[in-house]
Amino acid sequence: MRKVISHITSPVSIAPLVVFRVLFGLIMFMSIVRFVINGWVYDQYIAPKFFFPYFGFEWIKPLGENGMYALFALMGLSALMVMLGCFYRIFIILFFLSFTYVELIDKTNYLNHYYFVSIISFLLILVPAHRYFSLDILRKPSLKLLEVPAWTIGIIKCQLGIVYFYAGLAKLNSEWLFEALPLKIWLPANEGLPVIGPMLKYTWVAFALSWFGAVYDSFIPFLLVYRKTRLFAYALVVFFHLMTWLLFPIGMFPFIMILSTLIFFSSEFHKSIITGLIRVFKFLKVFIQIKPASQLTGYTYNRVLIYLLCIHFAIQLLMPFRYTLYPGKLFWTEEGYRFSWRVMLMEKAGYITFHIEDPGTGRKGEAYARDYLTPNQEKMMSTQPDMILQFAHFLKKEYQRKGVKNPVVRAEAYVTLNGSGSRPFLDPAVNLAIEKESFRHKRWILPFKEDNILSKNSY
Amino acid sequence: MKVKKDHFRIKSVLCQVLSAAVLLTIGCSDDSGSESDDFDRSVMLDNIGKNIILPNYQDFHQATLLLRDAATDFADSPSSQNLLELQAKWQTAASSWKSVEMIDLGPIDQLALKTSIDNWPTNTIAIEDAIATDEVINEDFVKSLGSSSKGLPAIEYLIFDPEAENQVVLNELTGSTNRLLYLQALCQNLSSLAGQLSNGWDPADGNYLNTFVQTDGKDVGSSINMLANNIIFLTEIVKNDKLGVPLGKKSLGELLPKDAEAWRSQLSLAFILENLRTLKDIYTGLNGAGFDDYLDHVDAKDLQGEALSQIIEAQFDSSIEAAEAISMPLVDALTLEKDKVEQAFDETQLLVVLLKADMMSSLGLLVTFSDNDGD
Repeated sequence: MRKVISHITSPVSIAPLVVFRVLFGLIMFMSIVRFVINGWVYDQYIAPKFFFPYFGFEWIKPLGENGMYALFALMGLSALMVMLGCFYRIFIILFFLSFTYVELIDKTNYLNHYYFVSIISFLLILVPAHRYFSLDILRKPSLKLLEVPAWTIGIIKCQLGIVYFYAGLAKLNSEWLFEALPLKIWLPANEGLPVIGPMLKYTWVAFALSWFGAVYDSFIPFLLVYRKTRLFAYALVVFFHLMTWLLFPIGMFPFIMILSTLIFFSSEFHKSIITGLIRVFKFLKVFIQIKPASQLTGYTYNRVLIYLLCIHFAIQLLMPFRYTLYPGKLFWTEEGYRFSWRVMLMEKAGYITFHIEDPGTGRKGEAYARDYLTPNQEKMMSTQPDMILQFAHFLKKEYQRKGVKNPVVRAEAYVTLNGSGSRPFLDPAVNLAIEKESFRHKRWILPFKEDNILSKNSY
Repeated sequence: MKVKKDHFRIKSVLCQVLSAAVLLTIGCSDDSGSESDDFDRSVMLDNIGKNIILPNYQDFHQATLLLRDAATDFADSPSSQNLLELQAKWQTAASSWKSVEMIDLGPIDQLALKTSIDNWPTNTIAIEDAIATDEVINEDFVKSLGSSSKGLPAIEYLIFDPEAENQVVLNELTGSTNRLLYLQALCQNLSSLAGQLSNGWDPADGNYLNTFVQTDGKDVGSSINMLANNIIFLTEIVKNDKLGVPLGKKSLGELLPKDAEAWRSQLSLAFILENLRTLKDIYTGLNGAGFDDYLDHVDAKDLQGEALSQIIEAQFDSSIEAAEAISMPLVDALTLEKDKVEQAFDETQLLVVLLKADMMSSLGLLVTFSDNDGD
């Protein structure tokens, strides 16, 4: 134990942490600008009339048109300030809060890489990434540090390792490995790509890429840690992520990972990045020439911080396994699916009709998601039971507003999973208006049966 | 669009670089001769554009010209015979519109013409206000009006009255010069709009056909993705609005016969059938490549091993048969043949499920008109 503590607190060069801060700030700034330019602030946070907040975070609401743009402006400014290391603590906290707030507004927009960004920015709050090569040390030279305890860099490597390893673990399922699903469905659609395109229709290519992906994700953290395999591993990182960028619409994620994994390289490597930058942009020299006003002191930190981090990583290690507490097929029920690094694992789509009944008069009608939701919200809601329940509760309120006292809301849902063909998804008899959201298993999800086929329920 | 194209070019270049690495990794070199069985999306688009969309637009344009002429003939010598002729020409024009109604890409989208041609329910108060104008009633006057007082439904309102004899319609039209002028101007305007669409696709004119065929990617702005979304959109409109609303699906069971499309001309069902048949034509590509061939190419099968292309085609047929089984105008069938209307509704619901979930899922297309990231 003592040995472990002395290992994680031993002083190492601050350079990897500083380079990580600069790259993270930069890529976040670019991602935010891209997001705004693409008009997604409007599409995702202003246009929708209804949002799907997370259980327990229902108090998080969109802030209206001006509010949302202001929030994104703040987020972009914070990313820039983090990159420059200017009032770092304030701006990394603001970045974490603004980014996480936006992500919590609507489950529709959940992406594993957004979750990753939230976690990394949280970890960055806890480390002194601004105490070298930053505006903060120009402002206050006494902040300058050359060395930090090893754990400040280790936690980021550890987090990256968890992301990859669990993403690999999630691929160790029979559909991925023995049926090459969903890659077998996705790849042929890309055959228009030059050169590699024509190969993508072959089943063996889907199998090869499935197995490559599983092996890559599971082992890449270890290959990055060991010095001898590191260069090879990083070449794989670049190759793998560029492949995924080429084949799938996954936005900035590949680039975030390509830059983030640089942190596994040695301090010498990162020092040379800094000197390289200074050689190109001469004015950056001031950032390192500053002489600390006082004697260089070691970085001090709070014991509480270490406990906090232990809790964080314990949660990180356990969260992806919470699905084992639920019955049924995980991909079908999606109970315990999010926040587990299950990336690009399934092709799922559905269509849902809500049946409304006024128990007072016995009158029956239907409600359709497209009358209330954006196409993307409808797509996401149609296959995810917790979102279906939220929308059913929204419909209950809508019909109460129209004067129906206790509307019965039942869902006729059909879902196709990995090309299985659409089949009944939910118990058509259950009144969702009176079902409560909780972390307990939703008994109204029908089990996935191989021999089920598309057939009309009667109401 | 510009950004997307550049993006694609970058991806192409990168593809070539990466492919070298792929070839090294996988060690494959023998893929010569595989070109022949590749599915070429541009061939499918060429077939659908050249053999379905363009001719349907041309038919629509021709039909509106005949309607315009019939309106002129009627105005010159109003008679019950000429009114019947006018009504018949309206039916042909409206019906041929139903065979292009699903298209919501290209000229109709760029020129924003859809609502000017077919915006129902029409606004009868706005139409009567327009007729009562002091201004000169001509095509320019119609152009200046909002979409709820022109197009096919407005013409229908002027020349059909299911609750009275044709003589009443005739008396109304002959009793007011403005009414006759308005009718002619509406028909004139409609034929101009139809001409713009037909010319917009014509290879000898706007040649959107070429753009349609060239945009053969599968991203959000690609022809395939837009066309698939257009198919789904109209199928849902047929289900939700053309059948569902009159059936009272959105009004807790209260039947709404006058919210049906084309209830005045009592052609609701004929138009629904025209919609469904065209949707099926575009899906199958008639004798050429269509979505069914694309699905076969990616080997889309359900767990029982049945080809998705066949399942969807059979569902198109069930939907069409169920609508054909209704033996009277929709307005009457809502009460007298309610089971049959419900049956047609249920069949189109299953069709929506298959198109929106199964087909889109299998083809890797996006059920959205705006781009966004996945993971």
